[in-house]
This record gives sequence, C-alpha cells and structure tokens, in this order.
Amino acid sequence: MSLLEVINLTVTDKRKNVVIVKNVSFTLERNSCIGIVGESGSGKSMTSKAILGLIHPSLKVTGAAHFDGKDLFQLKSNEIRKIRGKRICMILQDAMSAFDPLSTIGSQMSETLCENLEISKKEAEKISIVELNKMHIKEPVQVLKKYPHQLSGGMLQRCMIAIAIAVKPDIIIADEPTTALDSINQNEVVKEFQRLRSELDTAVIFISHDLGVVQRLAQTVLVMKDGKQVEYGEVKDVFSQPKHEYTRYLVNTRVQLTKSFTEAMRKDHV
Amino acid sequence: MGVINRLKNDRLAMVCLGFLFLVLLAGVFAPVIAPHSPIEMNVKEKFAGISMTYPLGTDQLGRCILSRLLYGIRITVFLSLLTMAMTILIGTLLGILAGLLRGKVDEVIMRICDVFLSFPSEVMILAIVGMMGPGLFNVVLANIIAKWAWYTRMVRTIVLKYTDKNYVRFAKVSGCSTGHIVKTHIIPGAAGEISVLATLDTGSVILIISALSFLGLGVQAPTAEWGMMLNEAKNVMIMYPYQMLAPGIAILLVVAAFNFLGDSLQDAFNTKRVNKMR
Amino acid sequence: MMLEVREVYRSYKKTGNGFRRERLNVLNGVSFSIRAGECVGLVGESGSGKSTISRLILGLEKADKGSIFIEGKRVSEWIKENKGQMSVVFQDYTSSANPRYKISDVIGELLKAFGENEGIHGKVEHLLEKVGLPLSIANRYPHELSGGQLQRVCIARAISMHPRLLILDEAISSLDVSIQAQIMDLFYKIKKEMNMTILFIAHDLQAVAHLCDKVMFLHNGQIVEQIATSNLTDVQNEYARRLLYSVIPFNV
Repeated sequence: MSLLEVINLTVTDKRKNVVIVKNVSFTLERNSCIGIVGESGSGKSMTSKAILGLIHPSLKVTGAAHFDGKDLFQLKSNEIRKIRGKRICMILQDAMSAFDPLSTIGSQMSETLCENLEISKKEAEKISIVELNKMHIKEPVQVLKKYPHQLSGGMLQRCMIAIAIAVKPDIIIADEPTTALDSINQNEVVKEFQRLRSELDTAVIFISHDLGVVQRLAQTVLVMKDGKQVEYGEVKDVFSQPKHEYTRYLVNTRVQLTKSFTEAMRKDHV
Repeated sequence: MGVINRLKNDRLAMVCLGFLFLVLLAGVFAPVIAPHSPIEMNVKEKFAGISMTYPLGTDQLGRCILSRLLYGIRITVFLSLLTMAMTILIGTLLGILAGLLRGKVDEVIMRICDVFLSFPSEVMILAIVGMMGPGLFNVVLANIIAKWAWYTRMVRTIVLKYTDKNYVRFAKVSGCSTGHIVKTHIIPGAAGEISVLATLDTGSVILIISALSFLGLGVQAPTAEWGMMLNEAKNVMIMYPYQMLAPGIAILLVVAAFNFLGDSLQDAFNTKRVNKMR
Repeated sequence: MMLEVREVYRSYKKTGNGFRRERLNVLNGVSFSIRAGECVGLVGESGSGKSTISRLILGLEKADKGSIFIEGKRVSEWIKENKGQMSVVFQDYTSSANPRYKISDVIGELLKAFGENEGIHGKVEHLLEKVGLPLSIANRYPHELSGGQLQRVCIARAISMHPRLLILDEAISSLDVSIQAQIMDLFYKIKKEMNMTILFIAHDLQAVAHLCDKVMFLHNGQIVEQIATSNLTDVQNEYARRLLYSVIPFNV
C-alpha cells in the first residue's frame, strides 16, 4: 500500500466559486520523492497546504488523501494536528519568516522537539546539536544561541530541515526550499534531502520550479498549470519525452537558459 | 482617479463633505443670511426663547444667537483653515527640504523640531499667547508655532518613504533634476497622506481656537466666536442652560465632520487596504 | 574604460548591538573595470555585497574609501553631464513604477523630462513593441500588470534614452523560471541590437553564463575571480570553483 494517496484533490473558493486546484491525484511511496513543478499561482503550494489542512476556512477541499488508512480530509482538526508536525512536516520557502524573530533558534528547536517527541528539554538540546552537526553546520552550540536575523537564509533553511529530520516524520513537504539560495547552499540542501530519504525512509513532496533540482531528487513528477494537473509520471519520462505542450515549453526554456553554462562546463570533461 | 470614486461611494464622507461645504457657504454669506447683526443688542429681549425673529433665541445681552453663530463661522472655521494651510505650507517645505537634502540640513531642521516637540502643544500655545497677549493674530501664530514641527516631521518621513522607492531611484540614476522628482513623484504621493493628516487635525485646531477664546485669550468681545459664546453662556449656565447648546453643538458637529472626513480620506487613499477588502 | 571601480570599501552600522559601535564591512577593496560594449556578470551569495556595489555605481550611496569612475569621471559628475545615459532595472519591479501613472507615462518619463515634447507617443509605442508588450497596455496602470509584464515596462523605460551603461540588479530573480527565460531573451536581444555596456548582477550562474561575456565572483567583499564565460572551467579561486560546481544541471 502507498504511504500517501491523493485522489481528485480539488480546492474551491466558496465565496467566489472559483476552482483553485482541480482534480490533482498522485501517490507517494515510502523512501521516494515526488516533485511538483509549475509557475507561481499554479496551485503547487495550495495542494500541499490542503493535504495538511492548513488552508483558509473559506476554501472547500474535496477528494481524498489516504494516509495510514485514514482520509486526511475527513479528520477533525485535533486529529490532523497530531499528524501535522509529527508524521508530516512542512519546510517553507521563506525560512526567515518561519522562525520567531524574538527567540533563539535553540529554544525554538527544542520547543518543537519537546512537543512532538515528548522528551525533556535537555534531550531536545542534545538532539538539536546532533542534527545540526549532521547538516554540516559548524559550531552548532553557537548557532543554537543565535536569533534568526543573525543567520543567513541558507543556514536557517538547514536549521528548519534539521528540525524536520529530528522529528523523523513519514512525509516531508518542502515548498521551494532552494529557490532563494545561491548554488553552494542549494547543493547542500539538496544533499540533505537525499540523505534524509536514504537514512530515514522518509518520503518527500518537493515543490519547486527548478527543474534541475527536481530532476536530481525526485522519481516522479507532477506538472501543474492554472490549478490543473498537466502531466504526471516518472521523472525521466516526463522530462525526456514530455507529452503535454506546457511541459515541453518548461523543459525547452530551461534547456535554452542553461545551454551556455552547460556547454562551458562540459569542456572540463573533454 | 480612484480616490475620488472611492470617496464618492463612501456615504458618510459625502455627508460630512456636504455639511462642511454648507457651513463654509454660510460663513461666506453670513451678512446675507443672518437675520440680525451679531453685535446688535436688544436688552429687553434677553434670554428670549426660539421665535420667528430670533430662530435660536437671544443671549444675555439680547443678541441673536443664530446670527452670532453664523458670523462665528468666519472666525472659528476660517481661522482654523488658515492656520492649517500655513502650518502645512511650512511643514511641507521644511519636510521636503530635510527629507531630500539629508545630511546637515536634515540634522539641523530635525533638532529644532525636537526642541519644539518636547513641549506639550497646549502648554506652548498658552505660553505664547500669554506672552504676546490675547488676540486673533497671536492665536493663529501660536498655533502655527506649536504645530509646524510636527508637520515637518511627518512630511519628512513621508518623503523618506518615497525616496526609497525604485521609481525615484531610477529617476535619480538617470539624472533627473530634484525638481522633477519632487514634482512628479514626491508631491503627488505625499499630497494624499498630508491631506488626511490635515483634515484630521483641522478638528483639533478648531477645538484649540475655541478653547482659547473660551479662556478669554483669543477673540475679544464683542466679536462673535463659538468658544467665546460658550464662555458667555457659562456665566448663566444654571439659569439658562440651553444657552450653551447652540455653540456647543456647532463645535461638536464641525469637529466631528472633519474627523469623519479624515478617516474616510485615509481609507480612500489607502489603496492596499481597499483592495484587500474587495 | 566605461566603468572603473578602484579599491572601494563600504561598511554599515550593525543594528541591535546596543552601545557598541560595531560596523559590518560589506566591501573590502573591490576593484574591477568594464570596457565599453562589454557585458559582465557579477555573482556571489546573498549578502556578499552585490547590491551595495550596484548602489555605489548608481550614485545612490557613497563609498567609505576608494573611487568609482565612469568614462574617467566621478559618478555624480558623469550623471549630471550624461542625462539618461546610465539606466537600471531593479529586482523589485512592484516599486519600480509609480502606481499613480499610466504605463505610457512611466515609459515616457525620461523622454519627457529631458525635453522631448513631440513624438513621445510614437516612441513609447516603439519601445513597447521592442520589449514585446501589446500597445493596449499603454493606457493601463502598473498594478493591472503581471510581474513579467511590469519588468518589461521597466526595461522599456530603462532603454528609452538609449543608455550607454545598463545595470541589471537581480532583474530576473523575482520572476518565475519560464518568465525569467523570456526576459533573458529580451536582454540578449537588447545587448545584440543596442550595443551598450551591461553589468548583470545575479546569483544564478546559469543565467549569467547565458548573457554575459565575462563573469566576476564576489566573495567576502572582494572580487576573487574574473573570467570569460567561455572558459568558466579554468577558474582558480576556491570559492568560485565551489560556486560553479555546485550548480545542479538540468539534463535531457
């Protein structure tokens, strides 16, 4: 049985009667990664938020999301709260706003860990340090004492991933975690996701518009446009033989944009 | 423009605007509308009630209250508007100067502002009028002295906000003159915010001018002025309490109208909030 | 030499440090020069001082030490003598166009400001065509346009006086990838057709390689490497190497 099976997920704005996301279906296995690709406003983020029950009450969600024998859309709010954060974690694009600027990284990390793992504060601190070490953060003890604004975006992003890893969820939903980062930090973050999967068996829903990153991380990919599911399939099939015109367009523009760079770098291997 | 349309859809704003317009008209045409001269005494008819000859009755000297009220607009409302206009002019000029030139000019203007802002404005006004003696001119001057620093500061902040916008930066980089930037980008942007401030503040200026007259520091008898009328009515408050109603309600209505209008203007200019509400 | 940056230093006051007067050194002796007609990329991680360099060149800030020359003159002097000859496209397109003015006025601002009275309408239409926007857009207001369209408007305004020096300050970073590609194509076209000196500031190495002839790497407030984009793999500097080899390629 699949870990998560989303069937015909549809999100409608009740007030304006506008369909924001229409009939999105996909399955997610243990130790796998699905990439969701599309432009901003295409419903990528809305899809992930709907799965976690994090959307505004004026929006109506229909369809089903089977996770661990339950339909996530039918759960009561206190039941889904137990799943959210503990079994399904979310990593946001804007790491800076995901942290509370008024308290230290360390206190926020241990707060989350205490809550979700039911451990003491001391243990939580130990785990934090171990996880930060794994993220290749130098001097984790110092980092824990710092406030969000004292760290770079890449650093915060890694702290957020460290929290997610420490909780050991079944699924991690990552919403554009690499977009705002430069290539070095981007690479580090991608490596962490790879490690996460191989070591913890965690499944990842990776939302991005960077086709290169998706290609490296994901096995299956879902292409979205205007709230609709345009294409869904194995990464290698979709990117090498796109069936839908929009996917072809995305792939082509990407190839064109990176052509000079790829060619310049290829010289190295000749 | 969108602002005017939004204002048109705001019923309260239109009512206030209409009311204030009528008040101003009444002030301008006071000699035509008023049934009597504001200073004509008729001691026999003192404390008369509402009648055909005296629509709002008469005061302790038998003067027509309605006529005094109408002539009072000329002093109370017009003077407040004049005060506001002068304050805004000074504040805008200095504010733009400080915000655009920055550096030493900014530093000097702001420190002077700090000095002025460190006194409560009411105390300062009282002190200035106390020193220079009562009188209309002194009241206006005192108001301007007490308020200009506050406006300079506000305008400077607004100007700083706009100079930070990319379109102003672009104009600077391209070599546009400061005059061009002020004319095309800063004034049109700031005008909205300044007008909101000014409208909201006109109410408080009316209150201050009336208060000063009430205390006997402003207009001198027998000139009709609302605060002064209140002061005179106060003396006979126990015997003829309704004497206070006419000027009191007049002040209340005009001040409230200015405040409501200011609020509506604020909403109208604040495009972001309006869009969100949609 | 179109642009010459010599040993420029710039530091900022650190915030939130109470009474200690610590300063954050953003630029530690940056030097580089760009010849007329060159298209040069400037890359570095966020916070490395790219935007500071751009603000200094644009004359919006002053350097603590060192100097910047455009065609041998100091920036402020040069701007006064060469109106409309240096232009910029910013990252944040939302605040780049005054919301009070129609698109035609936004694009025609410089034309009007610098004394052209006749034919502005025709020129604006020509510019709209050049950046690939429909003429009907001229009567709309900035908030009615999408991000990509608005950035095109900014580009049209930037090239309206046919500038000799064009600074692109993270001009594509806030756009979606497919829009980014379109805007890059537009820059490419402008570069080919208009023969201007371009400084392209970005953190996306692939975009820089696509547009520029040369790329400079900024690290710890210094230019650590300058290299032709065709010989990217010859980089010597450790940081530049890491930046290059960290790029995750997309292969079909």
